[in-house]
Amino acid sequence: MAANGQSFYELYRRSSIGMALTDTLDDLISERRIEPQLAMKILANFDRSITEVLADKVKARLTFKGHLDTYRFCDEVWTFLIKDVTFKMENSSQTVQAEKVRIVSCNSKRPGDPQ
Amino acid sequence: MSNTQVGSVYQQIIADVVESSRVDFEEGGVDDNVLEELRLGWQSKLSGLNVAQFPWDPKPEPPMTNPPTVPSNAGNYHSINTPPQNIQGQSGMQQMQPMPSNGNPPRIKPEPGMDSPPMNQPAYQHGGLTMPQMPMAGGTTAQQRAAQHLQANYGQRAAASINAIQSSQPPPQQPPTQQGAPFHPAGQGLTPQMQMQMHQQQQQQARAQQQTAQQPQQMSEQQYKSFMAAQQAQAQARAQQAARQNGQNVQNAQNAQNGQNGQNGFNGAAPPQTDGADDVETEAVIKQLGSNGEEISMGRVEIDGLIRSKIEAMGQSMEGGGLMLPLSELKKKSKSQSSQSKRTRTRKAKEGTVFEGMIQVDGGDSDDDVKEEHDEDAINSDLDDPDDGLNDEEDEDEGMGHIMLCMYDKVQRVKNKWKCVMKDGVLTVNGKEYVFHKAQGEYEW
Repeated sequence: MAANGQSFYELYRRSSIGMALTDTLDDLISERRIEPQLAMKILANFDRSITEVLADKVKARLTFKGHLDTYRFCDEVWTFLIKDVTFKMENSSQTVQAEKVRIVSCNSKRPGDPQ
Repeated sequence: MSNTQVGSVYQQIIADVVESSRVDFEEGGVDDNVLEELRLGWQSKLSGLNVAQFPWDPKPEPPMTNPPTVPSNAGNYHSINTPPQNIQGQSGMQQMQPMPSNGNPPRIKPEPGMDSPPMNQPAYQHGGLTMPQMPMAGGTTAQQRAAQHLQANYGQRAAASINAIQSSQPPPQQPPTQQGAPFHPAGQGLTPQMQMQMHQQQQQQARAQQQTAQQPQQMSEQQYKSFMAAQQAQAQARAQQAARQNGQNVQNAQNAQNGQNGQNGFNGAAPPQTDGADDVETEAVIKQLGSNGEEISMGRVEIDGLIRSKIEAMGQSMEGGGLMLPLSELKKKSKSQSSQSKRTRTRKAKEGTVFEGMIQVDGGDSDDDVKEEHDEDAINSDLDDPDDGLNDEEDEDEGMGHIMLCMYDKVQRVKNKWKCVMKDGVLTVNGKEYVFHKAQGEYEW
């Protein structure tokens, strides 16, 4: 996908920032301002960018506890559905609770990827 | 893990993507304006999701693409109240009056006045991005005012950021995230409401531009979309598919190419009829193949009518099978739609009792069977899809849902106890978004 050879997970396209980008690109395509191929390139850029920025700039840590409802491991992707979760941020007493949260998680060590 | 960091992280991602896409835009021969528009659209969409405070939220970033609003506003302020301090005094009075303990308003005037007005003006015209002045103008009072603003405007929700403001003075270089909003009005005399208005104006403008840029064809598409939105989701999906098929019957070549590209790229999110717009005049948007083979040109109104009649017909035919239930309830049901009932429905359709529109669209009798088969398939696959994707869609029902996207370092299980180490993640929960570098999870099954 990416022209620079190395490819990145498309996982983060489902995040709010990814959805916002996809929507915007969709609009531009339907207005015939850009070609779908260009949109694909931009999305590939996004995949790379968000992976790098998350890895380099973010330092925050958190812990979470809950009850595992469903788990699945397929194609090197873990999917968990956790119920009654409590997220605890480090460095602050703030906790966030949720009835359920879905975790979609790709392998941090990609096969054939020297990380 | 922090919510405050999200704004700056996302801003960086956006800037990064825009920069790295510039080359691709040039290669594709697309104008830079589009790139800029992409960025603005992206930002405003992101703001619309309301998952965090973004740096561009309080003061829309670049004066470049939206000069009409910012400078004109600025001009107003300066012409009405010539010395900038006046505004500051006024807004300070308004905001501070209920808090006599502060007693600042009289003193506010001289404070910024110390800075020469010329210094203030450029700061404002650059969208207030030159924040370092503010701490200079009086660190503690500014903080207090910021906190009060936050409290007044956001109440309890702002408690965290107020704490942050009061406990530590933000480094001047820090990109203004949560603190950005209150600092700005306190110092520059712009109330948050005004900023909101500015922001909205700009969004409206952008929207208006987009709309004028659209061709009438796409207007009809919008009508079509809003019309469809009122209908039940499943019927919508099906109608779109039907519409797409209709379109392809006539405009095969173009649709096949463009439409598929769109589909591949965006999971079918691309609106179905966007292609094939240009070659047809506005009057006849689509051509329909009559039952006896002649072509009937259809305008927007007719298409709308056709779609409506189809949806209504589908709705009627579905009622028996319980398909008009809300999607969530429907999915709870097992995949018990017997093929018998489907067959009955399609037989009805063939007899023309329900699906009047469908039969017409399929053209002459000669290939009727083939087309009919095709339609039947479409219906079946649509019926089955929600069930197949049961788990996936269950969460997407809740819009942004609660989802953590990350990478795993380690996933361990001992009996029913799980321990996971995640990294580089984005967590959306309770309508707020958080980013984290590392996360440890423990949960039992």
